[in-house]
Amino acid sequence: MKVVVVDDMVLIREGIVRILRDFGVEVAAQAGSAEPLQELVETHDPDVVILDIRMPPTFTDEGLRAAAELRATRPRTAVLLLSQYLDAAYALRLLHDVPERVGYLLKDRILDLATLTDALRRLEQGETVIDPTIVSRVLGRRRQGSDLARLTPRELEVLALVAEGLSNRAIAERLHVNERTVESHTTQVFQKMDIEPSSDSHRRVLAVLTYLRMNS
Amino acid sequence: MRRRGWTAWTADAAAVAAAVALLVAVGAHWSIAYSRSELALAWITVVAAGCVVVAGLLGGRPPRAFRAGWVALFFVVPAAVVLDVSASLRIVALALAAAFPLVVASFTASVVRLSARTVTVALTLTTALDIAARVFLSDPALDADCSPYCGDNPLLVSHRPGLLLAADRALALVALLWCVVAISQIVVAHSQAPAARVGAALAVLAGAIAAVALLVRAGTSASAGTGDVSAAIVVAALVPAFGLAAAPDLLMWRTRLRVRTLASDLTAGFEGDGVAGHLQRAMVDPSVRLAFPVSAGAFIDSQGLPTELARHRATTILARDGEPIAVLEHAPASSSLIEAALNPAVTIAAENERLHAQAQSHLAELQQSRRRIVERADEARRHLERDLHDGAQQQLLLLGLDLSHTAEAADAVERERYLEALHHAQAALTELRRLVHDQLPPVLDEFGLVEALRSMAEASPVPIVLDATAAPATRPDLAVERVVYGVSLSSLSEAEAHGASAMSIRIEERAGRFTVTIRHDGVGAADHTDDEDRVGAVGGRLDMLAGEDGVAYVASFP
Repeated sequence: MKVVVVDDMVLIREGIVRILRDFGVEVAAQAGSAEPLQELVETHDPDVVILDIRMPPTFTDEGLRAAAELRATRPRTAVLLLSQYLDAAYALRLLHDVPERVGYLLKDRILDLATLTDALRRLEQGETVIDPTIVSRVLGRRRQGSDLARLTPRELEVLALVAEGLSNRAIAERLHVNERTVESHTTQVFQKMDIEPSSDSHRRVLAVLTYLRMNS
Repeated sequence: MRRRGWTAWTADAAAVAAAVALLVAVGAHWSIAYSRSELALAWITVVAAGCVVVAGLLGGRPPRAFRAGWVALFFVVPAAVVLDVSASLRIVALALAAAFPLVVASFTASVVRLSARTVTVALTLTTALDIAARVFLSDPALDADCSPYCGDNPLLVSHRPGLLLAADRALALVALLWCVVAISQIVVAHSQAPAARVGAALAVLAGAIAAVALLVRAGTSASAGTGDVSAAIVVAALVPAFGLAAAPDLLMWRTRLRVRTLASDLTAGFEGDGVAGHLQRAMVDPSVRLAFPVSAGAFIDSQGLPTELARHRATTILARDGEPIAVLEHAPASSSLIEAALNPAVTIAAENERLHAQAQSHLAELQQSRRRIVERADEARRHLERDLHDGAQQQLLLLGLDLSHTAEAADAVERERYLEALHHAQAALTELRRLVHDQLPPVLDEFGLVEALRSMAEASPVPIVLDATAAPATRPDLAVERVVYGVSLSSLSEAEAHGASAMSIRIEERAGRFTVTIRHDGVGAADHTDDEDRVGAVGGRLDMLAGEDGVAYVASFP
């Protein structure tokens, strides 16, 4: 797997690069800002671009914008956004701006090798990745009195994994059940939440997160 | 201050001329009248004419008390000396009858309009004509009532009782016209005039009608030139004479009207267009504008907002005790009216308005400074958030990276310790992120209040129902959003601290105001000064409603 890492903090960037290399990921190039990104991507044709959300000049959402621009020119390149922001609003904007092959992870995940590499692998396979912390935050306080109260604990578990972007097969592996069981769970969940059922990772992440955000 | 135009001078000259004519005529009349009652009546006429002269010579404004004194001196004292008792009583009665219209005339004069002066002049001229007719066209020897004791009339041109009667009737008609005009204008111009004034005006009408009736009756009975006719004519002459004595008051009517309007403007307060509006109407110049000096070269308008003087326009400085109060900007053509318009009442009103404008200006400055303080505090919190993100958080991440790197190379025991340290670093990162988010989260600046509150609700230990269905389509000012976020956050801590089980936040536009209602079913804290200050600083207001089922905070902003 070939990646490009963009982060304005040199030490952090180098830390990320070292971790990825240790793990066997090829880091084709790295940059301190989004400016040379297009060129680097043209040159190296990476599978995934890892972007920090806060970069110069405004240190707010440059990473988000760079991701959207990149997608416009390179629809096949996956984007993993590393963010300090827990707010689901950023993740949702990313999902809207970059449909498919996109991931939003908290920056702390660079210390959590398993999650980071799992995310890269899933992105390479065309899935969508949303940080579990953000999903649990969105799900957290919404059980009482909402439609979610009608879900069984198992169904809630499945819903959270769907929101993280996992495919039915990945969910099945994670929960040690067979895929068919997961399918029936998701069908149930979508029916109860009145969401159009879909097997497309990206589309159902967007649908579930939007639903959870809007039905408080 | 009062500018006397040519009309005023002409009127004064006419008054003096009429008075002189009256004196000459009366002197001549006196010389042919031997009866003591005729003598007394002639004296009254002299006094009336004297009033006219005094009024004319004093430039128009002898005080009312002075005029009353004049009446007393010239009516009653000589009459009592010259005449016997019964005649004296008659004279006193006549004097009172004459003093009454004098007083009433001066009241009337303050309210009637310009055309009344014209009628007054006409009346005076008619009176002079009538007296002239009596002097030159009446032979006492041919008058049955007068012949026993009247002497020759050396000024007699020819005895023409028909012409004398015509002159009497003309005088009667003009007097009646004067009364009608005066009364109608009192009623029209001053519906708010005190009842006493209207009553006085009606009394004038009644008196004048009585006099005219007497005149007409006398004039039509038997022959002209009798004692009754004399009395009637003199009484009728008194009315215009005293009216003329009050002529300066009549001439002042316009200024008086302005001052009166100003007084009622002042009573009504500053809701209208203020002193400038008054001057616009008084000077018939819609471009009149007032500016108040605050510091060197800087001006404010009546609302306290900074303003500048237009360079191409005429300006007049309004000063009091040498200190400039206001600058009056007006059309160059209105310059001649300025002096007349700027009477003391206007100056006081302008000074009052300046104080009001200054207070407004200071208030606005204070409000702005208050807002700046809150904005700077918020900005400082944003900086803190940024510094924590880019500083402490990154350092912790680096520490974590180092620890995980070192852990890999270490032996099993060491590795365990490094991983434990890594966990601490991760916990510190989580804690730091929570802390940062409780400042001003970037999501507020970038996505707006609704998203920020939604995020707050997600992490809230107390379930929050957020209702933004009626929220305005456009985001309010960032300063307002930050303040609302702060108030919501402090309400949430309060709800959490006082064991609330539910909280709701509703964002809406209510009556044109951006309104946020925060409710929770816990107990409200006693002191909300901090929140009130923050809301007030950005121009809003915060109301707290406490009930049995909880508390509600309503923050609204224009």
